Amino acid sequence: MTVLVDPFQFEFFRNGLIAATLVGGLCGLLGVFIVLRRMSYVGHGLSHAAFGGAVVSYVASWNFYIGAGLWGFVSALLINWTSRRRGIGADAAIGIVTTSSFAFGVALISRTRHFTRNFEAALFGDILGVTRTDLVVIASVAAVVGVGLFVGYKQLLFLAFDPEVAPVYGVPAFWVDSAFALALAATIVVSMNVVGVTLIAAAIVIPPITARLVTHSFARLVGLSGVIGTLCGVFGMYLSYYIDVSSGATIVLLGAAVFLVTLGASAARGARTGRRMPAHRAAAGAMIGEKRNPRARGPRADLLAQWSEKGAEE
Amino acid sequence: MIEHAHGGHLHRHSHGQPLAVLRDVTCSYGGPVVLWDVSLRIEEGAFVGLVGPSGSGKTSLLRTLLGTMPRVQGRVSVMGADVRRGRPPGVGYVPQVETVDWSFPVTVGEVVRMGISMSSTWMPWPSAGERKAVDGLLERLGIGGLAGRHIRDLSGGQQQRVFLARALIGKPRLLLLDEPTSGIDIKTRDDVLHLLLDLHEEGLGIVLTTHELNGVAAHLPEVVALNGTVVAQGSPEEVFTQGTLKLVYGADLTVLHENGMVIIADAPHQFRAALASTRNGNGHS
Repeated sequence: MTVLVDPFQFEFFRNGLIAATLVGGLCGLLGVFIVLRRMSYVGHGLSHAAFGGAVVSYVASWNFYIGAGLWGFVSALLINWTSRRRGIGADAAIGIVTTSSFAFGVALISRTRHFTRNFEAALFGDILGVTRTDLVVIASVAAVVGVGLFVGYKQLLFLAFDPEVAPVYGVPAFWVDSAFALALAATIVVSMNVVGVTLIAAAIVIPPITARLVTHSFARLVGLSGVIGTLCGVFGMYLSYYIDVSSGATIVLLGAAVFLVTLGASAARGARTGRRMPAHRAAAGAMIGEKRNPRARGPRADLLAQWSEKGAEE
Repeated sequence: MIEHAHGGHLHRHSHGQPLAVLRDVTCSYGGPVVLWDVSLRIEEGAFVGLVGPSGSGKTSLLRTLLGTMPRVQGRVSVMGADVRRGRPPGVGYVPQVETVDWSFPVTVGEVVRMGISMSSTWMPWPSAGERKAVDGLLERLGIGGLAGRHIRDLSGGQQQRVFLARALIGKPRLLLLDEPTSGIDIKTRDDVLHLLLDLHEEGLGIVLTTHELNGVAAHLPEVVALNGTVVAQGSPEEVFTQGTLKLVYGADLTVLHENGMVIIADAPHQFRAALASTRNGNGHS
């Protein structure tokens, strides 16, 4: 018990733990929608775009959260707008908008040359430097985004599953997408201090992918992903404290370990039941880009896999 | 007169106006025109099959009725309302199942409830009444007890019925289906068309697109043949003639009449010349 209580004597740990818990849960919840909307790369890209905004805020002496948040939101809208142009895919649009924004931040740093400390904190996270003001901002964003996800759950689910058809049933796609872009930008900006620009994508992607390995229900996926994100935040902080390793990296590595263990358990369960690839595992693979492989999707996936295996044996 | 499925119960309403009217409609996606000079009237309780080659504008016509076509000239009204002023009310839509992401983590019940996502409570979970309505509808469509199953664990016919249930849960007066017969075997296709006929007999207006000419000939009372514009419309006997099919598809197809059924067959290569001379000679079909 003392293992859990001892670190609480330090204010930096208390603040860091609250921040990591909130950010972990928030990234886990929002991550479900990001991953299922095939926007994992957007999360990664937006964190880099927000970095440009962070540098601009620093140089121009603006409030960090407002500057980086607005920058991230505008970047998200730009990505949406650019990817709807003919001949420009979403991945290319993200590449153009976010790397330009990141490069702009780097260029500003090279001009001013006195952003070094904040540069590292932005890239790799500085959870020990989380202040009470940061906590208030993180808690506010978590509350607003949480309520938004609760109220807009059905519309977000429909848009994620069937973006072409949802508007036919009255889902206001433009407004929901815009609100989602704002929530994503806000989440990324408040997460920057905790896990850093380079690790945000992992904090967003790992919880839903792990949860997908054990459930096929969307409602359970959302709940489970939020819980995994929260627990990784809490235990990642303790682990970081005791092994004296960067908190952001520890949280992400713990999430990756949980994913690997779950994947192993899922594979073992599949082997016990005699199935070549459990449906959940194949589906989790499809969530992270194996969708175009016909052997990993569709009602006949297992049969195709068996045929493929037989062909290889012969 | 029309009836609606809701939780396994039927509600009867009476309406006088046509379900949809298109007058001199020309439309595009912002580039080349994909449909031109289309005038159609879909009466209450109609059951219409839209046929034509790939790229002939079948899906575009459905999108025009749904109000999702980017550029539309002419008049399009559904249930008396101009679709350009907003989403048409009382329309259910079943997309091509080929466009569905089967790896998406969602159960049958969750998919069906999407159909009422804008009219139900703002709580994420369904009310007891919604659960009952979904269960009743699934039962009625022959897939009762599957609400908790993942969509990928169903057969092709069951999957088609799930999306049909999503369209019906909102109690539509007009049902639009995009290629409901593609990608499924002949038995499942027959089952789906019989199910649609049952719904039609209860008074639901149905418009579907398909490449299955024989399925249309066997089951549907009305056909609209498209190739950029309306080439022909009427009963299958009126539309499915060698001459009309040549106009629509640009191919010499064989049309047989057997025991009151119209059967469209491919022209075997070795008989192609003989078929052409027969058509030129006596117009036999």
